[in-house]
Amino acid sequence: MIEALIVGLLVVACGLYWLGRVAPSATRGLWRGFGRTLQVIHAPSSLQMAVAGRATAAPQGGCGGCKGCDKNGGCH
Amino acid sequence: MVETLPLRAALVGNPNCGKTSLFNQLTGSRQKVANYAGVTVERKEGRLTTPAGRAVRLLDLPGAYSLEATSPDEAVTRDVCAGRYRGEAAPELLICVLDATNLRLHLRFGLEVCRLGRPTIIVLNMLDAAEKEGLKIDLPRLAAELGTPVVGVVAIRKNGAADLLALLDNPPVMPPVLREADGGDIHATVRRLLTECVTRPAVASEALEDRLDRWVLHPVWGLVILLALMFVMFQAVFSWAQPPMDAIESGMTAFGELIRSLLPAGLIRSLLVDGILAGAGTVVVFLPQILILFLWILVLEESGYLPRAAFLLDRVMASAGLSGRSFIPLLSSFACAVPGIMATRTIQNPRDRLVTILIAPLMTCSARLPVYALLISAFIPKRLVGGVFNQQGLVLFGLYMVGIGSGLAVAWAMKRREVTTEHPLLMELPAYRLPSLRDLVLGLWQRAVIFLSRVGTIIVTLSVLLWALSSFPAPPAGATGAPIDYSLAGRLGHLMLPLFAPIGFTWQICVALIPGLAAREVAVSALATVYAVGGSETDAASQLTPILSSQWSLATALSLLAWYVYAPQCFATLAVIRRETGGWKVVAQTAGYLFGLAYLASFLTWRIALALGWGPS
Repeated sequence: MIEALIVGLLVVACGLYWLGRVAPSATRGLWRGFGRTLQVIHAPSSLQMAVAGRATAAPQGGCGGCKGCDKNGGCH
Repeated sequence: MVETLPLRAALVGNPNCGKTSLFNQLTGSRQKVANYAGVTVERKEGRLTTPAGRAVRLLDLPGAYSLEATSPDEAVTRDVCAGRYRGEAAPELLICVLDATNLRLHLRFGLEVCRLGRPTIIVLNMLDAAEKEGLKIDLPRLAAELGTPVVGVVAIRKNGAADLLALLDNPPVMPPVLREADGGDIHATVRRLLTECVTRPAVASEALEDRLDRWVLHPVWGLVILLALMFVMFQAVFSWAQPPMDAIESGMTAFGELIRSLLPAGLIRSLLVDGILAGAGTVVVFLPQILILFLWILVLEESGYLPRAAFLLDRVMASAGLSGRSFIPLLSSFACAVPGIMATRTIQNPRDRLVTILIAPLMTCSARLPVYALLISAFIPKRLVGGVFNQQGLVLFGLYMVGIGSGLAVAWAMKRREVTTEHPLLMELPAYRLPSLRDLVLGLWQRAVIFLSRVGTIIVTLSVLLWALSSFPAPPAGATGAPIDYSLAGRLGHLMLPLFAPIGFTWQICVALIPGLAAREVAVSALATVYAVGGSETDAASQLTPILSSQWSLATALSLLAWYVYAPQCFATLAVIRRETGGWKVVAQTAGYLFGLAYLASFLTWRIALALGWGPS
C-alpha cells in the first residue's frame, strides 16, 4: 500500500511537471488552490510562501535545460 | 563616491569585434562567443561592480556595421542606442568596441557612434593581436581626435579589461567632441585617423593566414577540405566515443543490478529499473558522442573556419535560392534548431529569412544523434569500408547529408519562382585563431550540463509517466497476452498502428512517438521503457540495441531513420518559430510540411526496403 502511494505520488509529480510546461496557467491555478488549502490547515508559513511563489511565478523562458535565456526569452 | 543607481551602459560595435567576450569578462557571464559574425542576435544584460564599488548595468548588443540597420539584429542595436527600444531606457554610456587589427572597417562605426551625441568610451580590443602584427596605435592621439576616452583591452585575457574597469569608475558624462576636419566625410576621417594614429610595418612576405586561405577558399580544394572535415567529424563520433560509452553502459547495468539486489520485486523496483533507469540510462549513454560532435563544432567555431565555409558554400546556397547569409543560421541548427532559427535575424530579406526558418529543422540537431546512433548500432554492422572508413560513421554522415540535401531542395522549391533580391554575400573573414583549451572545456562542460539536465528533467519525468501508462491497468484475470498489451500505452499503440503500419512502424514505435513529440531523444528512452516493461526481467538500459536488432527488420529501422530526418518532433523549435514569426501560421506550415515529408520518406523507404528483401522474415 505504501509502495503504491509513493509510486502514485511520483507519477502525479511528473504529471504536474509536464502540465506546468505545457499549460503553465493551469498549474498556477492548482498551486493557488494548494496554497489556500495550506492556509486552512495552518501549514508552516515557509511552506505557504513557497507555494504562493509558485502560484504567482511568471512564465519562464528557455528550452529544456538551457539557462541561457534573458528576460525577453531570448537564447543563444 | 559610490553611486546608488547603477550606470546603464551598452556595448556596441561591428560584428565579431569581441563585444560578448568583453561582456563575459566584465560581468562573469558565459554567453556564447565564437570567431564569426552574427553570434549575438539580441540584447543581453549583465551587472558588474567597478573597483571603486560603482554598480553598472551592462547591455551586450548585436553587432552592426552601421546604425542604418538593414537586418532585425542591427535594428535592436540602433533602437537601443537611440533610446527607442521597447521597455529599455537609452543607455547613459556607450562602450564602442573596435577590433584593433581592423580599424579601417571598425573606425567607421566608431565615428557613427561618436556622432550620436551620447557619452562614449572607445575600446580597442585585441590589442595583443595588433601588436603581434606590428601595428602601433597612438591611443592618446586617437582619444584627442575623437574627443572621448580611448582604452585598449584584451577581452579574452584574465584582467585584460582592467583599464576599462578603472575608467568606468569615472565615466565621461559629456558627448564626444569630434574634430571635424573632413567636411563630414566619414571615410575621409577614417583615412586621416589611420594615417595620424596608426603605424603599420612594411609587409615583407605573405602572411600565414593568406597562404592558408589560398587553400581553404579555393573553389575546388576548399570544398574538398570542407567535405573531409565533416567526414572525419562523423567518423570520430562513432570511433572515439565507443570506450566511454561502453563504460557508461557498464555503469548503468551495474547500477540496475544493484537496485535489483537491494529492492524486492514490486512497483518501486519496476519504476526505478524499467522506468527511470531504462529510460534515462539509455539516453545518458550517448553523452560521449554528443560531446565529440560539439568538440568539433567548437573547434571550427573558435578557429575562424566557419565563415570561410559560408563563403565557399555561397554558390551552393545560391543554387537553392538562398545566400551565404543563411549558412550560419543553418550551421547553428546542427547543434539545436532554436539558436539557428534566432540567428536568421541576421538575414535582411524577409522571404529569405522565412525560408531559412522553414528549413532549419531539417538540419540534423544533436537531439537526433541518440536516435540515429541507437538504430545504426543495432542494424549497421561495425566494419571498415575500404579498410579505412567506419561503416557506421559513413551511414551517419549520409543521414546528415540527406538532411542538408532535403533542406536545400525545399528552399529551391519555395524560391524557384522568385527573383533573388538578397545582396551578394559580403562577409568579414576573421583571423584564424588557435582554439583556447579553456573555452573548449567550458563549452563542452556547458553542453554536458544542458544534456544531463534535459535527461534529469524531461526524460526522467516522461519515462516515469510512460512507465505508468505501460504498467496500468494490469491485465485482467486469465489474460493470456503480454501485460503491456492491456495497459493504456499498449492500447494507444495498437490504436495508432493502422496509421503507421503502412510505413513499417510497430506499435511500440507508435507509443514512443507520443512522448517523442517533446524532444527527439525522448523516443529512445520511451522505446527502452516500453521494451523494459514488456520484457520485465531484461535490463533495457544496456540491452535495447540487441532487442531492437532481434525484433525489428532492417526495413523498419530504415523507415524510422527516414522519419527522424524530417519529423519536427520538438516543442521548443515550434515555439521559437512562433516567436520569431509572430504567429501560428508558419508553425502550422512547418509542422504540416515536415510531418508530410516524414511520412512520405518513411513510406518510400519502407517499400523500397521491402522490395530489396530487407523486410520482416
